[in-house]
Amino acid sequence: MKKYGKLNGYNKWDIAFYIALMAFPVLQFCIFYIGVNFNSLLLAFQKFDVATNTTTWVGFDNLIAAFRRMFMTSEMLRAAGYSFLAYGLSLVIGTPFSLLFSFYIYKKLPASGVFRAMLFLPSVISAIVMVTMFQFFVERAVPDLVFRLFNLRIEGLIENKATRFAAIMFYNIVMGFGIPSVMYANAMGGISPELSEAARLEGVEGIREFFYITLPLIYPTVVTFLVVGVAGIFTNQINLYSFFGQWAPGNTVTYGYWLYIETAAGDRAEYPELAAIGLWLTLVAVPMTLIVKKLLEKFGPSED
Amino acid sequence: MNHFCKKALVVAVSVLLAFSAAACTDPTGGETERIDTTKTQLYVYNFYGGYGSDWLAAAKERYEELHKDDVYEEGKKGVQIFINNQKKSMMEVVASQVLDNVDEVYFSEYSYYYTLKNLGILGDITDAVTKPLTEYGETRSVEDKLTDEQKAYYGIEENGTVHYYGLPHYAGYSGTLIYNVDLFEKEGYYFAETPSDNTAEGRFIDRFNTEKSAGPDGVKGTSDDGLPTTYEEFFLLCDFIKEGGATPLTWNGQYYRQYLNNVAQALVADHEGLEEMMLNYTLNGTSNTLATVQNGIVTRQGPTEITNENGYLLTQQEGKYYALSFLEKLIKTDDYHNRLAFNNSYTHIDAQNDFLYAGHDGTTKDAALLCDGIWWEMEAKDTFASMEASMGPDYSKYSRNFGVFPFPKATAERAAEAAASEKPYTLYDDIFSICFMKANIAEWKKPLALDFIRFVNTDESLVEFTTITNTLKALDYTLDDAAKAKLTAFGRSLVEIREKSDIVYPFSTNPLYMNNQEFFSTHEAFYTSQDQWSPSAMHEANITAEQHFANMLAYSRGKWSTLN
Repeated sequence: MKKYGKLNGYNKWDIAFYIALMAFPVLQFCIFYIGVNFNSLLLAFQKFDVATNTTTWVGFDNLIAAFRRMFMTSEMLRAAGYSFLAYGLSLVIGTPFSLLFSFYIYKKLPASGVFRAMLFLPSVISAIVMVTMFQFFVERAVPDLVFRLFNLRIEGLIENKATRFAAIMFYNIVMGFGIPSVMYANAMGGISPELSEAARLEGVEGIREFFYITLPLIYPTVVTFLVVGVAGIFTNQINLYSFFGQWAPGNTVTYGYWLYIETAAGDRAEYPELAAIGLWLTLVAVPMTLIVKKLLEKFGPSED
Repeated sequence: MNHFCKKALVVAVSVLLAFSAAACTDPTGGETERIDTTKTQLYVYNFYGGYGSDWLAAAKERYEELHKDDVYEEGKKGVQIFINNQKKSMMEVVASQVLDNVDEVYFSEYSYYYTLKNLGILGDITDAVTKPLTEYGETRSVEDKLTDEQKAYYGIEENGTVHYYGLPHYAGYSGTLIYNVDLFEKEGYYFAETPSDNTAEGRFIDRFNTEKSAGPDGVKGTSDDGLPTTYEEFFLLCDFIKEGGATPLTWNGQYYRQYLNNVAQALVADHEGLEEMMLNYTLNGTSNTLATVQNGIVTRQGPTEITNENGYLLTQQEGKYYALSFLEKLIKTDDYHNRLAFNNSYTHIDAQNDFLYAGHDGTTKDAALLCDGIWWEMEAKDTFASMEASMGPDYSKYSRNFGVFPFPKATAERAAEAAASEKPYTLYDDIFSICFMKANIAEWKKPLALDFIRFVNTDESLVEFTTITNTLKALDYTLDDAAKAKLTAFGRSLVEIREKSDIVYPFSTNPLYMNNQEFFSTHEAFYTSQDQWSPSAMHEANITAEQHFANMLAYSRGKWSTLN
């Protein structure tokens, strides 16, 4: 019997194949994750002078400046608020709808195959095309429709600052619907048909089947998506760049968008403080992610 | 899903993917050029934005013809300028990519010159810049075609000598007002030299009173005759246009924050003038226009010495308040702009289309002025072509009559001062365009790259650039009458206004500026933390010009202590 996990059970061709298969992703991880982030880590403790082309070590100066900026300026506190709000809305609205939709597909209800195929479309069509179509709909079609139906002139839903964030989140939730729905449906597809059949014979059908059979069995997949979502709270741009370029109004700006714009528009001398902000965000996001993961695993539905 | 449906879906998705794949090959939509193995290639990166690539294609053709018998490497004869048109500006092209890319000479925009230099991606082009262009029959060098500010910025002193690692490329006056001269002529949107009566309407020419006023340059018989000289007159004109049933100003809603911000900054430059405006970047000199504003009354402070310690005071240059009050008047009423001026789905291309079709498509009412950049005709070339095809040659861009609308001045005193000046206007060029050779170009190819950079900066090439794009390069050159005759009316108007203008290039070598370039950019020029940019502050938060002016000082003062 082969001893899995030990090399002495394999011949040299197996080992060569394994190395050939793993070398590239491992190298990529080393360069683009460890290397890049290590560089950012160093940058957080440096100051770069464009005029003299010199780099100096400044200890914790950047971290202190970044802390002040993050927690003592109204702009950044507002951006943090919108980042959490965007995640919260996706969690509260997007996730339940995604799960129910997946269940619909899993139960092979009418047109479920078409819906499943359509869920891939946002991933196939360029984001800028989708944003353009959506903007045209909410900015032109909706006001036109309201005018025709009620003879009332209204602003576009993005033009109107009161409905702007809601419209953008609607877009994000709808566009973010596809991949989780397909993944949940796939996970549901792995549930033993005998189990569903037994539940049906016991009178557990429809929404009860969803809550008592399906959800507990795919819960690890749900947890994965929720945890990844928490880890991405501070990097989620909510597609603002596609909507507004560099000029997104303050009542939509998230941390992810702000960091992207500052990095793209900023100069090299401005990167150290951004790196320090990134470090602070990591210090917030890592424990938060681990806590959320722990809580979800502890208090979620059980397969038993 | 039945078998047929699945197949149909697969085909539909494949078609969609094919379109997106095709879009990656050549943004110009033209055929991709093949490498000619019998010639030596010089790889040239071109930012394919509003200025397009026709100018480069023309330069390539002449250069290849000029050097068709030259040998640069063994076994090959002649040179092939291989153009790589891309939509990524230097802000988006990562510096390391430049060194790895095959492209050797770059033409791009929005670049931080000193950052690129520090990253080691710029090759030394001093010889190309400083030696007179005698081989092309010129006595001047490329350096001689730069302004003092450009020389100070691009010329880097190293070991006691000045070295150049880049050059300015095209000019980009982003906050430009373009006016429909045909409509102005037809409707008589010109101030009369002597008003017919005391009414607002009486201020304008009519069939009995045809003599136009001298306009902002104060000289009769020039193209700006009859145009408003002050902001007050400008809004009188807008009222007159509105009453006549036309739309005074058209701008795009998607980026109204940016476009109106650009107009405001251009107004500031025009009001403050070159010397005073440059203080915003050099932070060294005496400001004579710092002002306080109370209840709309502007009071100048005395001359103030500006240093790195108090540069934030420049937010209080009076021109900034006047520009804000101009915007406020424009924004806070629906009388002066198009209906979709704040609609996020209304793009700059939509605005250009509406401006061009206005009064000609039977649905869009006449539009008098468009707010855009000087490259607008290039961006609108498809619309011009489509109008020409469907409506006839009178609608080609060479037949239609548009012009750069010279900015009026904030006050009558400033208008009189400008009219008496040799250069009554000040233009603001914030596109940060650049031409450079990459640092790690093969040694044997350097002479070729340097020669090509010299070639595209000869007077002949500069003039050709203008005749093709109807825009300008950010260098000093003149067009003779024959060259001007090849331009559109807009192009001629642009050349004319530049001849009468000083130009602000918003950069300096002050370390505070160089380490905080974003803070000193147009993007942040009218920014406040609570209301962001002035156009949206006024449109959405109902902030007044006076409030925003005060908030700018508070924001800038707070930010100043945190600058690098």
